[in-house]
Amino acid sequence: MNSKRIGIIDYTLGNLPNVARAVSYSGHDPIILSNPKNVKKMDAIILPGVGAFSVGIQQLESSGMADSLRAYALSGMPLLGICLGMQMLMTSSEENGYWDGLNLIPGTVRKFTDSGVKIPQIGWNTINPATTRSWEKTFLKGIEEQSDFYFIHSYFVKPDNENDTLAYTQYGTDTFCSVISRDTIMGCQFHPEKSGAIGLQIISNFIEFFS
Amino acid sequence: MTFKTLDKQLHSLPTEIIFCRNCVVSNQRPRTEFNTKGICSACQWAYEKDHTIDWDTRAKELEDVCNQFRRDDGRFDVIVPSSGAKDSAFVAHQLKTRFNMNPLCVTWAPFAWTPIGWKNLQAFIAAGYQTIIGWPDGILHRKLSRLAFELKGDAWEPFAYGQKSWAFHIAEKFDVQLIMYGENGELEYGGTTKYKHQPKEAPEEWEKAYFKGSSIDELVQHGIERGLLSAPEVHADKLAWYKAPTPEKIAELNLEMHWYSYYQKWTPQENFYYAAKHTGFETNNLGRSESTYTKYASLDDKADGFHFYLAYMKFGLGRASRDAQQDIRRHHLTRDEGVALVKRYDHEFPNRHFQWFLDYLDINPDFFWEVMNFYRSQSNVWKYHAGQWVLTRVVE
Repeated sequence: MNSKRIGIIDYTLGNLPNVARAVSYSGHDPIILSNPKNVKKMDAIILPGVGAFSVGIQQLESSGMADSLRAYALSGMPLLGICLGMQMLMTSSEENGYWDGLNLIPGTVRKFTDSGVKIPQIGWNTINPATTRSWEKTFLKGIEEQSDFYFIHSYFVKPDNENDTLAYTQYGTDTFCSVISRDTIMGCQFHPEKSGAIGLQIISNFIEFFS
Repeated sequence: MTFKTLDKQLHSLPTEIIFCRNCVVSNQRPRTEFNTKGICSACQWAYEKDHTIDWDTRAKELEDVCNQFRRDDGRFDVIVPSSGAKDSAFVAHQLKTRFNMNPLCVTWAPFAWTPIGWKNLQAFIAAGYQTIIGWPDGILHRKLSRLAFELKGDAWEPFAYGQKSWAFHIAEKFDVQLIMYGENGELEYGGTTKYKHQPKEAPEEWEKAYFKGSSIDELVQHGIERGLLSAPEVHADKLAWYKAPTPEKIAELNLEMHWYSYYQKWTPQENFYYAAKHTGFETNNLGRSESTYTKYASLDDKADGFHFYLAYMKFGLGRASRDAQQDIRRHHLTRDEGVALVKRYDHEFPNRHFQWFLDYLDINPDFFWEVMNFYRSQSNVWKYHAGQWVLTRVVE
């Protein structure tokens, strides 16, 4: 197998070693990136994330990483956002005010509305296929419908375009987009690097998808 | 029965409880300080580890230290205090394979090995690490633990004395001048930050930092007064392993005690993966440890669970809290996840080895709970209400 260079963006928020280990497990080379100049040398990029939207996006913008990521993704190279990394792909977020995102996928980030369930959602939950798209030709290929993944979040993405949703998940009375994809840009709200074998499968699928 | 305590820290804790805004520790953890933003000293240090410390420079410093102490005549050149578990395995393996040192590992025996702890030590030795195990007099050790349980609120303390000191005795015997410990626990987990920018500390610091402000002699004195210990039982040679050589002796021998965590960013979970890969380390075969969610930390000793449970009685901070504090600082968990895990597991009683613990200390369950309730009554976080003990402050 041809080993690929997979950039993992380090903007000081995020569980990088676990993501790197998941990449290694799939037989590829994880490269922790903090210098925006190195982004374009990668075969694919993973944007992990833990924490607040405002802090994350400011880190990306101030370091120049945001521009590099936009240029990279818009040139048709594969980019996977995880959790906060997925949320930052969107146009904007309502977390603690109003924040512009990377604007790679049109849509917003909103808070759970159901006051009857614990927020944040912490734990395993099910992903269901979107009605408009099949998983067959996406990086969810081979993943069983209604598989469980590990979530930890208070906010979720709401894409403007329904076709961008690949999977949805129910939490309390909220139904939210848990997997998103548009061209070569992908995101998952759950943490594949913390979701056991099936999570590793997703990381592996993402890397193999474009070869 | 009325109790008294020799734990001098217990009554110096702030009575108004605050929790760290970044992790799940509170100001009840002794020696932990908070900045004006409400962030604990260990989290501040964790931030510096990620943002301001120049690890490349420190790696070079380690290289220099190894160059200074390395021997090419086949003699040991560094002592690594080791339980055979993840952290010491990481340090010993790094020193041996990366810096070409010749480590002699020293293990201070736990009160009673768990099967998984013993298995891990054997796997570590089998991976190529010469090891000396120090076993203190079993009767004396039990009596000291019994005294420490009641007087310090922690039966674990005689182990801690030896864990710190045993390495110095072996260093002296084998004429080795360098001792490499794993982490500076005070700095990494909350405590004094005095040695943040220094690779080593002097033994005169220990009494306050690790031994709750008293030494083994104080414990022995109480044992003699009660008639639990007799003079021949506590001859100088019997107690020597519980005490480091005097500061003068250490200076004469040119002994230096360094922390590996000064030289390289310390991440316990990464040490676990490292040890699993290189020295055959295995996680707890019984699943997660009682009172917490982890299965790779502090597995060796049947008594460990009670050390953590006593901290829960005194400070309202149990084993899950301790694990979550670290995991948040190293970005394995968010604070929300940490809070949820603390609520789920911190209160769980370590039942698996309870009978063994009672037998070891030669006490009955009533006495055990009397001591627990005494320490709860001395704490700032527990109150007795409507016939039961209630923890008044839990992290949110």
